[in-house]
Amino acid sequence: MPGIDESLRHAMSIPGVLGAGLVDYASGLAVGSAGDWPCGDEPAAAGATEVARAALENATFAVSAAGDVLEDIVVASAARYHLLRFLNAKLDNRLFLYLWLDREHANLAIARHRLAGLASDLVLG
Amino acid sequence: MPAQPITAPPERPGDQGTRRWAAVTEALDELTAHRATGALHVEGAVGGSIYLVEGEVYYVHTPAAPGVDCLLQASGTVTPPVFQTAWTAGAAAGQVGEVLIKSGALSRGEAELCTAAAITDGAYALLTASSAEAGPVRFAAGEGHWWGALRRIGVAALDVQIRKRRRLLERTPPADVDDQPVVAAGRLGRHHVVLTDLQWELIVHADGRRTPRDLARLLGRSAFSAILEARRLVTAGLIQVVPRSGPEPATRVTSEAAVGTRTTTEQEPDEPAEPTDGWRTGLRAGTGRSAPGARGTARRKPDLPTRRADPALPLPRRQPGAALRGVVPVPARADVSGEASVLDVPEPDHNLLTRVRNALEGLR
Repeated sequence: MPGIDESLRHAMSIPGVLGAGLVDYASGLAVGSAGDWPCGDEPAAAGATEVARAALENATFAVSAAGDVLEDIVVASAARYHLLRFLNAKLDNRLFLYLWLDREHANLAIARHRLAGLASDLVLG
Repeated sequence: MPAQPITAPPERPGDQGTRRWAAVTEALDELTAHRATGALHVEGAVGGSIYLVEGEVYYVHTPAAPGVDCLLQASGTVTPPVFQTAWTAGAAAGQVGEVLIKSGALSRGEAELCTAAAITDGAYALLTASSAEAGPVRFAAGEGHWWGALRRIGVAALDVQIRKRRRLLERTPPADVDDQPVVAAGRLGRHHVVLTDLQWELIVHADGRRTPRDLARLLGRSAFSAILEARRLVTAGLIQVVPRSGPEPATRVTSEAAVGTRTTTEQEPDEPAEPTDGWRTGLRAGTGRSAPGARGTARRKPDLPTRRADPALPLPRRQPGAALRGVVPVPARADVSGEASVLDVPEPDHNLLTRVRNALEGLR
């Protein structure tokens, strides 16, 4: 049962990863971070929060079967992947894991799979 | 891990074992510089305690924000019996968090997240209050908290968090709803809305009696996020502040559509609570008024998780929100319906009774 810092260390071992962080989207602040970030971890956390909130508060993504929840958001640029994974704790869960990857060395499917595992370990043990 | 009470000097209020300051920030700066371990007790209307280990904060207790016991139980993450067992086993050693993790009731990640949330939320309340509200301050070296040091946050990092939250709240009017009772609006005045989960919970439980800060505690959400979302909902017209009776009409954010019984006729400002708000008056008389005062008087009870049902109480009456897991229904308030007693049954309707009797006879 890893804690926050250990989970982020595990995230750094995902192939192609450049940086990893746990972001509180209620405040837009990083709870923890590891590796390098596009523009420093605080601006990156704030930027990722805006993307997360836009998706969460958008009717297009909200209208869905009961029990369905947003799992992750993938933003791809020519050189990078940005991966946001929402945490589903029963707790006041306004958190997501943020992963920033180099497309040259990363495999999106593997990264998503590993990040999903990390997210569930973090909150379920 | 927190320093154990064994090493702590015994309680000798006001002697050389404790230090006093006028303001919280001043005290924290000094204690951080000395990498102090112990408890910083804050007096005042927004009171509480900040627990330090080697100059870093590992727990904040304040009635102004939900603690870990509330966050875990009200959210259903840990059931009250499991929490009570862990508390019994670990409180004396300051290890309740660790006991919960070891028992498998809580993952380390959840425990750390919950701790961080309680620290930031409580620190926000204590550090943003004016020194008139939060102070004076005294430090009890070596005193620990029952939860234990699962996650430490440096004062500088805490300061960044608090400033960021403060900016967010300052950008989100109206500022005067945080400790006012709120109620869901009766009509939307538009075709549809999109809500987040927390917004939904706030609207469902906005019963005209609870303030956003009360709702945070009921729902096991941080006071910060409940207050932030409540402000957004007030701006969007989805919840409304319930006007308090009495001569304080300046800060009301009420809408004339809120209560049909209220008209805009002028009242003498000194007139005490006339039945101006219809049914809300009776409701509020029970608990709504106690909110600001309670924060001042209820502080520094022993840090026991006190939210469990008392088996000696009579069966509680159903009330909004009582079905939430881990939430203890408060016993029925005697004053809810004014003078009306349960024994005051209206006269039976003889016509109706006759028709019922005839119908029953017809069945034979």
